[in-house]
Amino acid sequence: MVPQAWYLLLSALLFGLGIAGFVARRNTLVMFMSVELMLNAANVVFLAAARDHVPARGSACALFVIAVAAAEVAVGLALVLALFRLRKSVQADEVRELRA
Amino acid sequence: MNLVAGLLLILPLAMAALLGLFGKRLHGKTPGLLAFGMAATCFGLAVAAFLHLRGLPEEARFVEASFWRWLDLGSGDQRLALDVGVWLDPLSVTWALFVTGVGSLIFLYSISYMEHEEGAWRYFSYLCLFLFSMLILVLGENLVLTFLGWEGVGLCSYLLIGFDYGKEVAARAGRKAFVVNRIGDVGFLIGMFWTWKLYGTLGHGEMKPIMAAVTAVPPLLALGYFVGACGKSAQLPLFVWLPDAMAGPTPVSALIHAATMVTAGIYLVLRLSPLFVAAEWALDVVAWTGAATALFAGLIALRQRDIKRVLAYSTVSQLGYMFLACGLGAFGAAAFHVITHAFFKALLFLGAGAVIHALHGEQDLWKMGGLKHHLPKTARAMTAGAFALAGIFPFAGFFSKDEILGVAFAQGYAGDPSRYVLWGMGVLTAALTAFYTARMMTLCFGGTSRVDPHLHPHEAPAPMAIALQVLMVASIVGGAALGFEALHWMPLHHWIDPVLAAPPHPTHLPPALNWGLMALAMMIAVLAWRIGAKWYGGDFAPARQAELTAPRFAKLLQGRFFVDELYALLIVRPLRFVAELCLEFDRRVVDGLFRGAGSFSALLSTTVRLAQNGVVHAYAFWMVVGAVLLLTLALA
Repeated sequence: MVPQAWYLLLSALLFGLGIAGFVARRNTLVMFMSVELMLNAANVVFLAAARDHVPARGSACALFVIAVAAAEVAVGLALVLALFRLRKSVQADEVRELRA
Repeated sequence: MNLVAGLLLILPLAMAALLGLFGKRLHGKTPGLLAFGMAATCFGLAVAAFLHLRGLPEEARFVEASFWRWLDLGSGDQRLALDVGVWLDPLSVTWALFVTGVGSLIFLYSISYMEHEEGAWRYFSYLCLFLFSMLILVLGENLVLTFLGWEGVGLCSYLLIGFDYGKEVAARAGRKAFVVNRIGDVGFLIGMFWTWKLYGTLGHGEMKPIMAAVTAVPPLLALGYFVGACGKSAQLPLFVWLPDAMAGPTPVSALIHAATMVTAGIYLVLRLSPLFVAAEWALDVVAWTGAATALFAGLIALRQRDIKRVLAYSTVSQLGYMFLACGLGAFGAAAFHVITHAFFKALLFLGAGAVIHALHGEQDLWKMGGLKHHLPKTARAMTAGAFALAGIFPFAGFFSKDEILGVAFAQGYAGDPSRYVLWGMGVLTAALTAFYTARMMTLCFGGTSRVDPHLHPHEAPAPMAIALQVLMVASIVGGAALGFEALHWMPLHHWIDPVLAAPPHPTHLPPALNWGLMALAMMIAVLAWRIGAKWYGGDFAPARQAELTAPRFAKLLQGRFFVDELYALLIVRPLRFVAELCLEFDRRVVDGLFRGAGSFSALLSTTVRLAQNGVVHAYAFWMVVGAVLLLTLALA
């Protein structure tokens, strides 16, 4: 059986990739994908914990995260679409209207 | 009688409201005619009240008419119940008579005087309000109503002095009158509170038996009222507002600052005369203040160039005589002088107004002269007034002034040497009065003309002339008709003395001495007049040179003893300094706190604002940093 530490390591790697992508990339779509990556890194931890400790609770949490992620994508993609219609571009650094 | 009394108050108030609200739509002489009609009606009502009282037996000569309950506070000993009502007795009716009588004439005069002025309706509205205030002052059935009128005349005085509010001088003089009067009012209020505390009432009717029985009164109580009287009647040290009040239109000077309002102080003292008599040394303070004011103002009047200022100081001086009489306990003589003074001073002011009117606003005596050829009628009328002021037989002022001096001498003769000093001051003032009056008349009407050659002086129009003629007659016969003590012809005294306190000191002289003093006073007055007329008559150059190169004392007179400057130095400047301090404190500390709070948050927000740069990546970065920080904190 694969030791739990490996799962945690995998999760940390995925989460790190997600943060890096979220902070570094300018394309909003890629930023979204990075967010998904981080959510799924969390899922990995939940499921690993479910396997070793309390199966039902961990799986339920993972299901919640998937549901939230789906909802988030629905809103987020709508925003990206709206942004594209407005700007003909989805580059995050071109949108600075909120500057104080 | 209730109806008459009520109408006396309602008519002026209604007319003031009418003119004040709708007067702007009236043109030309209409507002003046309406106001004059009202004033004349009031005079008629006052005469009716007078005749009614005359018909009653002497001890029942009063009418108390209450219209409605005004206040009812507290209970038992602490109860203060006041009615709005009228108290008619010989004293109040006498005042009402000359206030409405002289007042009507001045209203009449004003019709022409103000005809071409902007805002004459406003002027007449104020004048009506003034008449109302003065009537409630004298007729009000309790001291609080008197105080209401007292404040009312103060307000109207302020409004009328500052009638020409565009002019800085007028606005300033109005404020000064208001503030100085307010100082006196504090005294009045203290007197009132104290009276209520001691006697539990403020109604004139209820106080009548109390005052008749009172034997000892705290002197300071009486002096509280006297301070109020000093403010209103322009006595030392609160006289400074009256000369400045000449910034108002001339008929106002005549009405308020000579004939009526300034006599309110005397009225108060007379109304409360039993309290003054019972208050040990209070009367002496009154007497000495009066005599000192008379002399002081008489000296200042010697060297004033503005014709209205000469008259203003003479008013202050004559009011001093009235207080001297009050202080000597000769209350009837004070009332007598009030009435004759109302006649001749109104006449002099209205005459001066006619002169100023003819010269298109010129008030400087040095730029007049020779006007008797251009204004013969005015000159004649004013001469009668001037003789009355100077106390020359048989003009009105002679009788009343002589009676006051006679009382002072009688008390000295009866063994109080300090009264000789008061008498001396009075006689000296009489000489000064004759001298400066002669100076004023000669500079104005006599000698050669120094008038601007572009001006063509002309006689005043009919309403003004009529008012002058009537007052001239009153100034000539008014004194002899009302009383001549030496011949025991004293109708005014018989009428008014029963409601006044009995003199605490002797007032009668042996006839021979009385006649002798009278002749002496007469001689002094005539002599002083002759000197004044000679000095300033004929060639003007040497007199002018003498005034210009005056020695130090005369400079002091020209500068009006620098009383205004002294007050500025002692009172106004320190007050201003404190005010500036407070202002600085407010600006720096109080405002500083608030502004500091504001600018601190502004500073904070400018700093924090920089974080809000609109770069999505920066937000993401800080979000991550934040999350990491929180996590570290949670784990640590």
